[in-house]
Amino acid sequence: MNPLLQFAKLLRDVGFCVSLSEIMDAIRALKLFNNPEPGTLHYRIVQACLVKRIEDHAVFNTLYNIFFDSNLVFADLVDKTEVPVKISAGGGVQSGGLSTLAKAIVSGDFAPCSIDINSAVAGVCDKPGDIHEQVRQALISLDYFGALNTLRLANLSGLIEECEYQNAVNLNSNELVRFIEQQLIKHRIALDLDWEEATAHLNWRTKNFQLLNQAEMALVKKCVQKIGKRLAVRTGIKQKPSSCGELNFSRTISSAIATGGYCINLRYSRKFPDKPELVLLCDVSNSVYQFTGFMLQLIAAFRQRFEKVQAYVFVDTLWHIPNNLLLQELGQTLVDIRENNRCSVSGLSDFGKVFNEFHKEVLPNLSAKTVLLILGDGKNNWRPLELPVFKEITRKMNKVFWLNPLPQEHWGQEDCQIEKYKPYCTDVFECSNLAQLEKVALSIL
Amino acid sequence: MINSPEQLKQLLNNQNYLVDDFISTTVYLACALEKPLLIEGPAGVGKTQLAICLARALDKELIRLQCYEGIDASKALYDWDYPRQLLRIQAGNGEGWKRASEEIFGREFLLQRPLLRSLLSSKPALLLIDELDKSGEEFESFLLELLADFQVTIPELGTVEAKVKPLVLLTSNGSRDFSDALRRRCLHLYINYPDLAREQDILTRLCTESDDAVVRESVELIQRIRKLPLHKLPSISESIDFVNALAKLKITRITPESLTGLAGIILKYPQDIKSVSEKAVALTGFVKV
Repeated sequence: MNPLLQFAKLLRDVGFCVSLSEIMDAIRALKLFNNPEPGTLHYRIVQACLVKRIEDHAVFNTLYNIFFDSNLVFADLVDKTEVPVKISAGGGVQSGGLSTLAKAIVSGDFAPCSIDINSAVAGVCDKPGDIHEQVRQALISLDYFGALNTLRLANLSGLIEECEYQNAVNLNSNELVRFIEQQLIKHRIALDLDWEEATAHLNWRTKNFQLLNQAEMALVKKCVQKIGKRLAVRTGIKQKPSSCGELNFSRTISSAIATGGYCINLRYSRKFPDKPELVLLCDVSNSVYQFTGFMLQLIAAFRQRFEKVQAYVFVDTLWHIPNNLLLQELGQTLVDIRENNRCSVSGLSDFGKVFNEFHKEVLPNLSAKTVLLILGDGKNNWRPLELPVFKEITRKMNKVFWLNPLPQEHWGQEDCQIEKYKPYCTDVFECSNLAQLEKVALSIL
Repeated sequence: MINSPEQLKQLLNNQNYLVDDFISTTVYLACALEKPLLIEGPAGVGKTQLAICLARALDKELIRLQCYEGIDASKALYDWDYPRQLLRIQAGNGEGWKRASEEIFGREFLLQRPLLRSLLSSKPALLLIDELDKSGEEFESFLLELLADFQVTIPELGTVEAKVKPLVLLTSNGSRDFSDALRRRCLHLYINYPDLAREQDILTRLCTESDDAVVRESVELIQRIRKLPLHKLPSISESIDFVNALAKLKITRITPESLTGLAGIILKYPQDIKSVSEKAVALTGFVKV
């Protein structure tokens, strides 16, 4: 079989949408260059034809390197010439200066510590555990976290410039993590492990929010923003008069009556974005913290366009997020909520108490058109459910959707009471990864 | 007709547009395979300029469609010349509706917008659909037929096929995601900020009033600023403005004060300007002349 077909299948397995026409394009393009061997040119052609999103480049690079057994890294492919990095000489951080790894993270050149990296990978590749755990163990044995901490201290004491520090922790360190992951996958495949199984975790779109690494979090954040913007401009069904758009024949003919039956003024109309009235009720307890962050980000994108969107957070008491906080950087909002103990007295979720508060304080101010979106795992810590109150809330709302980041097989187990609330909701969705979030958001908002 | 990415690179170079191998290979593939090319990247990295220079380099007529929120087929593809149609109906008093209706939906009353113009052009054309992310999903779906088959369907006239297939370039700043259907019809090119050497080449080429030392110093400074977590990073066009401003003000060495004073040229958000101004000493202190 053509290796390109196998590679396309592999890309599909990790979530890429690769169509037959794209594979044919890639084959035609490779023929134009007399079917070059895997390498820089081959990589460029295949990437241009098969990868259509910048977010997918990192995973594509990893898969390309594994499948075609090459060691290309992105930096090799763009003829990159970096500004020389300045690290203050001699002084060192606290004592002893920066380690070789810390220097490599700053410069992005990992060649001086390649032996250490390879031995760290070799040391963990036969250990039990999933690939995330193996990567973590390899990083620990490299003293990666220590190096990051040293860099942070060096930045704070002014030994490393802010821009170099940001570049090191946001880009170069991710390159190292990706390289280690790539080597471990290669090893797993060499052990005759199924390709699909060995690479499944690379699909960050279907990866549980709790398992995302730093680079993947950034990608998901970017995607959530895009979904939010897409939803915010989505047009409704109703048309409104407009100075441009489609010709509105009925209005044009009506206006012609005033001019004796001659159509002098043309009338247009076009569709405008829907204006939803939306209330978001988010659990921010530890178990759903990550997911709530992404959902708040989605709603923040919405909030910039629509006035009637409100967000509340809770653990065991309800707190309304003011607009200024909702629109600022998301991480900061969540830190503010947590550090100031805005919505937690006991630290344990209490859905019943929160629904009671919502019923008393918020519900009277909402219209019957409002859509209520609840985010939470339904783990009520064996506290009263207040089902009659919840029933009353759902009766007064237009629709009530519950998004649960807990896998469906765990619903109803232990203190998860979602099954008791479910009959009163319009719908309940499992929503633990980006793919599910996108699907749910597009179908209900 | 171009025969290789190297030739294309040279042709673009002659138009003062410097590309790396990655860009030249992808653009060459779009030309050779006759596929639309979707170009994404941050604002100001030269996506639109690539299309303009490519049209000049390949001697194609540039037909540009600037997208915006609410753009529809009547602005992008065709519209009927309603006032003329009304006049035609009134002028032909008594000739009967059948004949009038046949005539008023003929090509004489068709207003060609950029998409239709690119299909009906007898000369090779380059169709630039600029900032597609500003348009809505409906418009995106409407483009699918054109991107796949280089044809459009006008209900009253039937299918209009391209006389000469235009080279289609679509640009986006990524403010909105596109559907898989649109993406799979195009080749994809992501243009990022240039590296140090390429940016230096670009600025040396375009900022003829500045000497090389100032250009090098400016590029090193801007590359450092791009590593900071800012709201909007400085683009190439802003780098060019910055170097030109230095030349106009006859500044030969970038000091913290001059950086603070000119920060508004490369940065467009108050919080970014504040952040860079606070770090001006460290940022300029690293620049060696």
